[in-house]
Amino acid sequence: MLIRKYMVLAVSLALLSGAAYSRGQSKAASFKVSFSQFQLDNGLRVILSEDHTAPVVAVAVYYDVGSRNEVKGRTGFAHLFEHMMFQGSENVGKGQYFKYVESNGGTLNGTTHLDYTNFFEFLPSNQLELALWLESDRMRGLKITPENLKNQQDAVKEEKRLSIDNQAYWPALNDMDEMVYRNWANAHPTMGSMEDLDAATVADVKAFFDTYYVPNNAVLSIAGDIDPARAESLTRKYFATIPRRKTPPPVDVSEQPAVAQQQSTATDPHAEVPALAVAWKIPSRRAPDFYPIALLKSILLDGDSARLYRKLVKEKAVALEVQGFLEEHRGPSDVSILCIHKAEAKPQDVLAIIESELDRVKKEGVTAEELTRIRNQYRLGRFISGNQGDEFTSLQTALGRAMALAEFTLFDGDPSQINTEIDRYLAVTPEQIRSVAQKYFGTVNRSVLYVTPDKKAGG
Amino acid sequence: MKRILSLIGLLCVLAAISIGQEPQSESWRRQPPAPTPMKPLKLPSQIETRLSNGLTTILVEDHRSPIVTIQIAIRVGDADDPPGIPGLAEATAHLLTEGAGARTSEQLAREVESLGGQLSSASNADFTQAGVSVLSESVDKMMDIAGDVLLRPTFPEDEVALYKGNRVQSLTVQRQDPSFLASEGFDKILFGAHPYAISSPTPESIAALDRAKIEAFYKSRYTPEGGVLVIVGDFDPDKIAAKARSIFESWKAPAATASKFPAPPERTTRQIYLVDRPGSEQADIRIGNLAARRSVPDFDALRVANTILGAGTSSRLFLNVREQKGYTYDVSSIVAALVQYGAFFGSTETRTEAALPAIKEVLAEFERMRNQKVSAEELTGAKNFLNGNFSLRLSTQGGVAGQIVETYMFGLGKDFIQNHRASIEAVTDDQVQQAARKYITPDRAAIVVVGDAAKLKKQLETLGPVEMADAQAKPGSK
Repeated sequence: MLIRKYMVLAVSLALLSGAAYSRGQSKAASFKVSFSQFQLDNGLRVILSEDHTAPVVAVAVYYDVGSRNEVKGRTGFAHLFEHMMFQGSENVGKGQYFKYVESNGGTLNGTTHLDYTNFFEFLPSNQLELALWLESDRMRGLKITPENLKNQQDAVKEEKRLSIDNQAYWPALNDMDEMVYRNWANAHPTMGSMEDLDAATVADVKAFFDTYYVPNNAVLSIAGDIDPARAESLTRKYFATIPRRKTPPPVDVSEQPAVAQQQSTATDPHAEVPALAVAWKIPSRRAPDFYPIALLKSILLDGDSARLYRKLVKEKAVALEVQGFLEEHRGPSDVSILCIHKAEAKPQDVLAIIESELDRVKKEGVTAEELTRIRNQYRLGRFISGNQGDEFTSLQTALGRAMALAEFTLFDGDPSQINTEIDRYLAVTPEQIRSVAQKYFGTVNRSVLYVTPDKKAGG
Repeated sequence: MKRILSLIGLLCVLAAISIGQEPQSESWRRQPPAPTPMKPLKLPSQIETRLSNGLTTILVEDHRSPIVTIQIAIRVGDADDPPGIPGLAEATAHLLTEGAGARTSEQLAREVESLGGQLSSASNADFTQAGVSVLSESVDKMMDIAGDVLLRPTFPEDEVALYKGNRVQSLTVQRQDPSFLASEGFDKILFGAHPYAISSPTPESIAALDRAKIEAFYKSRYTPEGGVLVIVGDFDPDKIAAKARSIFESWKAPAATASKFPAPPERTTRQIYLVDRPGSEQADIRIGNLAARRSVPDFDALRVANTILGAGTSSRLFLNVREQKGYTYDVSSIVAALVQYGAFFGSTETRTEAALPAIKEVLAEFERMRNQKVSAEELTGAKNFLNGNFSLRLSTQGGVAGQIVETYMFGLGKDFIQNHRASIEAVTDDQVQQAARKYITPDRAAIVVVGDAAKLKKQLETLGPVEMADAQAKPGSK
C-alpha cells in the first residue's frame, strides 16, 4: 500500500519567481523552503524540493547508521564502509562513482558520523537520473573484492594518520570521547583503531550492508531544478524494486550524567605549546534544554565577542586560541572547549578562568544584547554555514537544502523543521540560559584533559 | 571458499563477491542513463561603476537569500612587505578590524555580530581583502562599519602589542603543521629572492613591527586605485550604489609606489630537499616547478591539463597513487598562479614507507602528461568538471563575489565570466600537451619532503642526491 503524503508549505516570492537576478524584487523577508514528501512500499522516505533559480540539482541519501552501531573489535567500520560504498556495485565499477559525477560537471562526497552516514551529489539539473542510477545501484548491492577492501583499509588508515595522528592536539581530543561517555557506543572513536581496521573482512562488509544499507533505513532527498512529477517517477523506477529488509536492531546510547573520567593528561609529540580541553556531557539534540545550551555555548565561545575569547585571549592574554564545539547527536551530546594557551600560563589557572566565567553566567545570566547578537548570528548562519560549516552546504544552495531536508526527516520524521527549527533557538530566554548553566556546567559531567608538548620526541 | 577467493584477482568485477540482493534482470540498469538537454546558466548581471578615486564598484542583485555579501580587494599584499619586514602587510590587514573610526576592537566585534554580520580582513601575496556577510536588513549599518575599517583604522597600541605577542606564539603552532612546512620549503626553493618565497614572518620580524610602521604602511600603500568593491545579494541597487558612493568616494589614493622584485631562479636540474620532522607519522611531499602567472593566454589549457592529471577523484594521480596503490588519502596537482609568477606542483601526504614509491608515481604521471596526448574521454571529463565547478560556485553569493573579484583583480577582462565555459570547451588535446610540455617539468622539479629524516633519507637517496633543508631558516646551500 502506497503511503503518500504531500505537504506543500508556503513558498516565498523569490523561489516562485524563477528569476533570481531580476531588478526591483521585494526582499525575501520570509525565507521558506518548500517541499513535498512520500514513501515507497519498501520504506524509503523521499523528499522533493523544487527551485528553478539555477540549473542544478542535489541528491542526498541518508542512512540511519553510524559508529554507534559498531561492535567491539570493529571500530572505524561504519566509516570504512562508507568508503566501500564508492568501490563498485553491480552496474557501476570501482572508481566510477567519482568519474560519472565529476566528468559530468558535479561534485560528490559521503560522510560518517556517530549516528548517521550520508552520500550526496550536486550536479547540473539535466543529470538527475544519473544520480538516482548511482545511488540506487549501490543501495541494491555492492561488489566487494578483497583487493579493494584492502585498498580502502589503507586509504582510511592514511586518512586517520593525516587528519588525526600527524596533527597536534587531535589524537588527544579524539580520545576525549572515551573520557566523557561511559557507553561504548558513544565513546569509541568514529575513525577507529588501526588494529580493528586491519581486522575487517569481506564477511563483515556483507553483514553490515544487509543490516543497515536498506531502503527502510534510509531517506532520499532531491532539491533544485526538478519537475516533481518526473523526479517522483524516476525515484520509483530506480528504487521501488529494492526490497525492504528487517528493521535494523536499535542501539542503546543511554548515559548517566557522570562522565567516565574527570581528568587526564596527555603528551603530544607534535605540539609546541600546551592545550587544555574541557568537555561537558549534555542532553540530546532537540531536548528542551539543548537549545539554551547551544546559545550558552555560542555566547561563551563563538566569534570575537565571545566571553571566553575576550577573557582568555584579549583580557588575560593567557591563550592563543579558544575554540568551542557543540557535538550534537540523537542521544547524549557534548559541549567542548579547546584552549591552546601560552606555555607560561598554568593550565589550572586557565581552567579557573573558564570556571569563573561560567560562575558569572550562573549568578548573573546573560545580557539582552548578547542574546540579540547570538540570535542574529544564528539567523545569518543558516545561509553561510551549513552541514559542513560552509556556504556551499548552507540553505543558499540546493545541496544544503537537500541535506537539511534529509537530516530532519531521518532524525525527526519532520522535514518542515528546515523552516521552523530556527525558531526554537530564537525563542530561548536569558533565564533558560542561566538555568542550564547551573544544571549542566558543573563538574560531575565534566572531563578535563591537559595536553603538554612532548619535548623529547621533538616536533 | 579459498579457491573462489583466489580467482577473484584474475577475473573481472562480475565474478567478485556480490553482496546485497542477487543481480536483477533489470538490464536497463547496466548503462548510465543519458542526460536531458542542458539548461542555460543565467549569469549574474553586473552593474559596474568606477569612482573618481579609481575604485570600481560592481553590484549583483540576488534575492534568493535574505543576506548581502560584500568583498573588497585592493592592490597591496604580502609581496609588498619592505625587505626585512615580512609580516607587515599581514599585520596591517589583520589590524584593520581591531579598531576603526570611533570604535574599539571589542565594540566593532559586538556591533558586527549584533547586526547579524561577519567581517574579516586578510592579505595574500598580491592583494588585501575584506569580506562581509550580513542579514540584508542591516546592510546599511554594516557598510558604515566596513567603510570605517578600510578608511579609518586606528591601529591601537594595545591591539598591536597583543597581535605581535599572539603572532609569535602562533608561528610555533604553524610550524607544527607538516603541510605548512612542506609548502613553505617549496616556495622558498622555487621563488628564491622574490618575495613570493616568503610564507610567513619570523619572530624577529614580528618583534620589529610597531604601530608607526603599520600606520605608515597603511597610509602609503592602501589605495582605492585599481581596487574593487563587489556587493552581491538582497538589496535595492539604487540605494546600495548611493550608499557605496557616499562611503568610499572620499577615499583618497596616496602617491603610487613603484615596486621592483628580483626574478625567481631558473631551475636546471631536479633536486630533492628533505626537511626533518622527527617522529613524523607521514611524509608531506611537494613536487613541481615555476609555471604560469594568472594572465597567460594558455592558462585554460594548463587548467585542463591539471584537472586530468591531479584534480578530483577521477584524476590520474588520485586513481594511481590513492585508489590503485593505496599510498595516501590525499593526492592532487595544483596550479598556483599569482599576479607576477606561478607554480605547478603535485602534493601528497603518505605514510613514511610509501614516500619514495609515491614520488616515483607522481613523476611518472608528470612524464605521461608530457609524452602522450590525453584521451577524448579524459578531455571531455576535465572540461565538464571545470565548467561544472565554475557553475556550482555561482550558487552562493560568496562564490559569485569571489569570482568577480578574481576576474577583476587578475585583469581577466569584462567578458571573462560570460565566455569562460566556452573557452574551456575550446581547449584541444594538442593544447593540453603543449601546456604540459611547457609547465610540467619533472626533469627540473624541486621535490620537497617533510618527514622523519632518519627513516626517509636513505630511501630518497636511491632517487637522487638529497639536500637537507632547515625548517627554521633557509635550505642548506649546496
